[in-house]
Amino acid sequence: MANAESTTKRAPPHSRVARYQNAVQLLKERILPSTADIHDFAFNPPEEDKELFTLDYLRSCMRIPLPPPPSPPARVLLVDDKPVRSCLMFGVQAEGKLVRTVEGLADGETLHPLQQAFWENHGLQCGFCTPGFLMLAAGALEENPDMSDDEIKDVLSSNLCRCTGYQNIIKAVRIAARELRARPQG
Amino acid sequence: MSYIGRSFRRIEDRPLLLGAGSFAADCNAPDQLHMRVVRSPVAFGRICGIETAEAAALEGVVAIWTIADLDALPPIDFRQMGLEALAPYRQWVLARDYVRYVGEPVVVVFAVDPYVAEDAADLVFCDIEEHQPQLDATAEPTAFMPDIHPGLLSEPAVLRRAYGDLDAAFAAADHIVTLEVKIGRHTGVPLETRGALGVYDVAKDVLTLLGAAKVPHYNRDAISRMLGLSPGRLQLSEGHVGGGFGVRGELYPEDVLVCAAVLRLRRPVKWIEDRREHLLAANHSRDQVYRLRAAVDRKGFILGLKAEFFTDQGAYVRTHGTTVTDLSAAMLPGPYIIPAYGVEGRIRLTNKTPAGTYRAPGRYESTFARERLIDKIAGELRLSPIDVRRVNLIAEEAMPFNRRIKTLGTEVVYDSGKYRDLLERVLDHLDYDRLQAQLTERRGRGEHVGLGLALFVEKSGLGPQDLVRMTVDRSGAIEIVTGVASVGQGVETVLAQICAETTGIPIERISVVHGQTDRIEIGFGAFASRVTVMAGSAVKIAAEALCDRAMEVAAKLLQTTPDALGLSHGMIHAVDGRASLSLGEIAEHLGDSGGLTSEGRFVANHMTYPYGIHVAQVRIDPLTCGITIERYLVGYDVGRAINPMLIEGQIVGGVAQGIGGALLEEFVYDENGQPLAASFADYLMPTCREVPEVEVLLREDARSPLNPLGVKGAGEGGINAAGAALAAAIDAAIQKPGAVDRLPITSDRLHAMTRRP
Repeated sequence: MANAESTTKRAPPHSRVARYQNAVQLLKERILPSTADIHDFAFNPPEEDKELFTLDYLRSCMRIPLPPPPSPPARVLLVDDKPVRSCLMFGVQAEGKLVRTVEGLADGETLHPLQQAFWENHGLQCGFCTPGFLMLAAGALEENPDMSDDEIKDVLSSNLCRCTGYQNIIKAVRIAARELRARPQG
Repeated sequence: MSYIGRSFRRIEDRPLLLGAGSFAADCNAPDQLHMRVVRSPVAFGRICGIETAEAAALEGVVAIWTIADLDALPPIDFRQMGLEALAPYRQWVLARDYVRYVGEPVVVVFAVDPYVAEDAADLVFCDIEEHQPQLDATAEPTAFMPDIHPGLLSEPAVLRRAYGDLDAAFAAADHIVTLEVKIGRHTGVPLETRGALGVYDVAKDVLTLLGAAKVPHYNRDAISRMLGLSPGRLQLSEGHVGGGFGVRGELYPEDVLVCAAVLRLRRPVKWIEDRREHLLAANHSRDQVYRLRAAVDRKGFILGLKAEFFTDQGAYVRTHGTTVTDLSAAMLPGPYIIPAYGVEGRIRLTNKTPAGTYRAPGRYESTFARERLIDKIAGELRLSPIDVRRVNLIAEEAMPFNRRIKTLGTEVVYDSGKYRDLLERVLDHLDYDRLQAQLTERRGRGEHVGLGLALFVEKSGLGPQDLVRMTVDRSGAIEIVTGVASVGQGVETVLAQICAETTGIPIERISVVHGQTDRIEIGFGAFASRVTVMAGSAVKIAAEALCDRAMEVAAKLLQTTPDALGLSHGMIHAVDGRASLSLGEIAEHLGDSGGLTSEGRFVANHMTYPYGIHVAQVRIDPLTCGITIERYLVGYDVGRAINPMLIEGQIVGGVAQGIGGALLEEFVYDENGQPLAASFADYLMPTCREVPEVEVLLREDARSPLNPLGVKGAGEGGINAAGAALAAAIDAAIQKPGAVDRLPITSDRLHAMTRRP
């Protein structure tokens, strides 16, 4: 048996648990009832929760009010319109910013042109990476609706897909970009 | 309207596009505990003690177990291709006496929160006396677990297969060509890691395991046996599965631990694997060394082939038993005649992560070895590699071609194929001679460009059987229940198309239930490119039975005979056009007598064999040894394409993974057996920057005579020959025939090759 002498007590992590539960409670009370569309909301994590990853925070928030199956498998969110990886961003970094997830991409029953193009062009197989690619492309196209093929590839090369071999994803983004450009502005 | 052969968009896509997918991590249950596995930090060593007190003292920790707490649990058994001799090499759910690889589960921690579980796991101390690890599968076998299993060596089995007169072949040879090649260690790496949620329903006395994949029915039975549960008390349920590739869904220690914990702790238990764990703990694959010796005549015809190869199985023999080695031995001859053949496949254990199947197991590897051999024969005899392939290819007239070898318990009989025809079609498509002339000219200008090609035979549609049940509801919608599984490949759409073809009900009105053990009593899962062949055929049989039944009932209702009726678009019409009934109305009429239902069972004793060709054209930057794939083509004959768009998706996705294994992906270990590729920073998977636009020449030239649809599987042809084709292309680009003898062809290895005299 290993010696049990070095039993230096760490800070009791139960406080972390309490903070996690607290976060859920606060979201329930503060953010969710006051936001018509919970997928686009101002992110104001309570002081104690800022060390949680944004992904965990969102998972816990989605879990409560939505009917099952809940919570986004999305790894990419738009935070103040910029694509970020929710699993690498601490809650504190998103404080006070507008957070958008894939659940807010469609307009009611009408799919966003990116979603529609992914569907028509078989841009997804298992679908696990899909929310990430959709949000990544949505953010990039908002910033530059006229991306060249090379620019599209440059943006998309930051995400991995293991099923499609990418070519239908690239094709779908190209087609959606054209569709978005053709839309009346405003 | 015809439904088969059309590129419908998938019926399963909408929730995935909306972010409403239900993957393993999306499943939760009130009051759930979170499991965290403490893994071995060393490659090989004797466990002297495990200290858990400090971890147990953390608030929120509910239980901590070692193997001593699970003493009655047997090791994880083989799902297929087990041998008596392999039994002592099975893995326990937690390490017993020894650890044999970095990442091996040693201790398991349960806590109220995943953060706490992870913190607690960090506080567990495993006192391990380190031994010298075995890391080379070709070295002399060593002790598996010294003093625990005296005399048990790290070579669990040697598979030997042979046919024809090898001695005569070698006596008659004009040349002997020898070759040694190595295929690196890499694996499927689905983007969703493994995960599980176990929930016990007290009222029903049923334990449900969510997060199941690939082979839920088999795993239900295996876990039930291990835990001593009576049938019916355990159900497995598949949600969305974020990729499989052979790796996900096999039975692993963690699945059993979750179920055991639910029963013992009486709370739901959730486990989600992190990426590092996945790269250390889920099945690795490939990692073989081939030594080939071919007797050839002046034209390059192979008279006989002697092969010896080593499979680096890693630390234990997992659920696949001898599968990969067995398939390698049987599929090595590929599309060529090879009248005499002898092979010895050595399964060797090392102190690395245990290995299993990965998309085209035993074929990605053996195709690389065989096609390298063909190129070497051409090189040594100064013949065109195309001509050497032409003289060796099995002729269409020789079909069905009996290889006189067995694999996976079935005889290898190529059911149909026009190999020579496909080769000529691909060459025509490429305008091969002109293309080669262009490349020669570019090389003359100092560019390092080259073209390579590789041929292969795939196998698909492994039996033994599949069952589907079909029900029409009052609205005329159809539900198909099947025991196969979905790993994201489009099962629902394909089965719906096959059903629609017969019933005329549009695919949007057909739903497909898969991977739910409580919905159908048997199921054989999703692997070996078997779903479209097996479940597809069963759907066709069930749909025909359904229509017959509907006609019979309609005939009675309309006071006529079934042959006076016709079926289209889900409506049954009297031929004289006076009356009609919908399938929904018939279902309603039958409501009290069991409804409008049917069953289809398809049994297969033989596999079906698709075949294809990969062509790669590459350019090499002589300064960086960076490889750019300028062009990639796959010609593939699937017999009959149910949904061409989905098949092309399978092929292109397979190519991307094949490129990964050929150029980028490798699990490298240091001399102590420490894994050096345990994150995506070191284990490099292709991004859209590395994968070129892939051209697919999808052919339906040789239908399978073995199933009612004539189909062959499409899941693995895209990856099969990628290593072989890229190796040939790189040889050509650096103008050194036979230079590539090892995958992956990393820039440093390529640099060394270019410097070699």
